[in-house]
Amino acid sequence: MEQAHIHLDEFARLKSLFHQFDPRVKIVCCLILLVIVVSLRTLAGLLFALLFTSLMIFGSHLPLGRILKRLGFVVPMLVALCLFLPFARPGTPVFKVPLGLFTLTYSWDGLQASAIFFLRLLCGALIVILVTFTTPFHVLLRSLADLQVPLIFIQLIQFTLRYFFVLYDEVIRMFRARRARNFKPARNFWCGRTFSTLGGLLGLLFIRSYERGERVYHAMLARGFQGEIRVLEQFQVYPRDLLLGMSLIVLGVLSLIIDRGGWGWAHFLR
Amino acid sequence: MGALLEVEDLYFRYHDGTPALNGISLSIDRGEKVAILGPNGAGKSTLLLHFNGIYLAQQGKVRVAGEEITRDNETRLREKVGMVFQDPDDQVFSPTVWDDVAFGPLNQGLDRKEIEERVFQALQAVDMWDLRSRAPHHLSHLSYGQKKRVAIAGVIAMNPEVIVLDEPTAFLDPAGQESLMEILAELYQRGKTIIIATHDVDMAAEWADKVIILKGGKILAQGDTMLLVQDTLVKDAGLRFPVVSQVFQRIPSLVVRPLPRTVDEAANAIATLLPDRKEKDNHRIVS
Ligand SMILES: Nc1ncnc2c1ncn2[C@@H]1O[C@H](COP(=O)(O)OP(=O)(O)OP(=O)(O)O)[C@@H](O)[C@H]1O
Ligand SMILES: [Mg+2]
Repeated sequence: MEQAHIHLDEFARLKSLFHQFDPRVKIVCCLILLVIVVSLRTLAGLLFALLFTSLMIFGSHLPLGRILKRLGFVVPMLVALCLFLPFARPGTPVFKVPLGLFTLTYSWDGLQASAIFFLRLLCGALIVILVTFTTPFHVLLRSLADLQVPLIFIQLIQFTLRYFFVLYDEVIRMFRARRARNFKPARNFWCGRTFSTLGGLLGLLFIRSYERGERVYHAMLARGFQGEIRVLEQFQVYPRDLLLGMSLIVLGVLSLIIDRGGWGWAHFLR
Repeated sequence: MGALLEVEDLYFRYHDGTPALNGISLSIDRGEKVAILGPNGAGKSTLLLHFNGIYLAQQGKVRVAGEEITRDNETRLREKVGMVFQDPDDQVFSPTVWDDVAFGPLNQGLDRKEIEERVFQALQAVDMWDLRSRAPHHLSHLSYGQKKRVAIAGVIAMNPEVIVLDEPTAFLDPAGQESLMEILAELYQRGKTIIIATHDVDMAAEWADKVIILKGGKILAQGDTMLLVQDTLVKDAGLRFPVVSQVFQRIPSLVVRPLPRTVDEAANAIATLLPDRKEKDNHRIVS
């Protein structure tokens, strides 16, 4: 915990097609893509979507190891889905678990449903990663403002993130101070002392971060912050951005056509 | 020409009812080096926050270059008065050092070339140009002193006329304090007016043209550094004499008036007290 550090724009300044993509067009197109991807219903459509989102990730020169790590959160999700959903869905049974009074059926349809759900999640995550990893954070915020997202939402995001770091440092300091006085954290979470210490810690954290939050805000005001996010980069939409954007949407539409059985795909697979 | 910064009968009470400032009046001229001293809770930080309109006067007036700070002109006047906060973690937040220093100039609406130039100059001035692509916000990336210098650069880059620093030497190691003093000297050379709040009596004695002593939200005294060796005043304000002055005070037979306050003054005083030959002998013994 001590050494862990979070670096926001770690990969945002690499060079690739997606890094140079105008952020506003990128956001809009990827948003459309996201909506399409999560509305896909068949394995065929989703596999196609997975194919092109993965290709996009490859094309963006992002380090794959880090992306896989970032995707780690979907694994427990996958396990949970495969474990429980097939029991809940009626359909062709794969196997049955007799439990005396009733029998649990692990259904083929349920398994398929979990796969679809999982793929949606995966594709969605990949698209979000693509956008957030290839765009510096302040540029992202600026673009959202350009896209008429209300300033209040943008500031909310901005300050949440800003204060997240503040909070994170505060927590580390507080734990360090406690450890220095020989507090042994959480051998057993439900042990009364751990619990009350944790409660006290949370309260203190809240007060401290409130005070610090105010000072941080003052410091921003002192340097002329007026609520507006200004960036050095000049954005301009070039034909190449539109072209790239169009091709993303075409890919999305293609996956939708495949999904809805256009061109006899469905028959082909059956 | 009027004073650069004027405070007139200023009162301020925090929303929880704490009366932090109780009738402060002072004026600071262009090119002055001012040290504000006083015990914890005297109201130093609160007063500084009034200098660039973070807090607006609840009663009384604060004027910058003859103009009273109000809601309408606070942004413009903030460009004249730069503020370096006590804890650099409160101030420094962008993904890289470079971006952080550019934050102020960006808010000023300068063009790209000008911003790049300003950031370069400011980072050079605090000797942080080589670390410009580091991430400043986290414990492990920059040392405290380095963060402090980034915070100062962030203010220098806005090119204000007045630079206000809240406890700039706190938590700095001796080398860090030394380099801070060099930065301040450099800024002074460039004609900036510098105001610091500090507990460091020795530093104030060495550095300041003018000291303002605060207690309980009131000004106990203001004047030159002679104030720092006034017995009752110093005791009242919870301060102490500068170390060099203490040395002279300890030896009653050594009547030097006024009491030396800086190392140079002390050295001179000692030199005049020593008969010529003895001084040479001393040197021989030492070396
Ligand atoms: N945000 C706040 N809310 C309420 N009271 C405050 C707040 N900040 C400061 N005070 C109170 O106002 C008074 C003046 O505080 P201030 O921070 O200006 O003192 P200071 O001279 O800077 O002290 P220090 O040397 O400890 O930094 C103190 O009594 C303090 O408790
Ligand atoms: Mg203070």
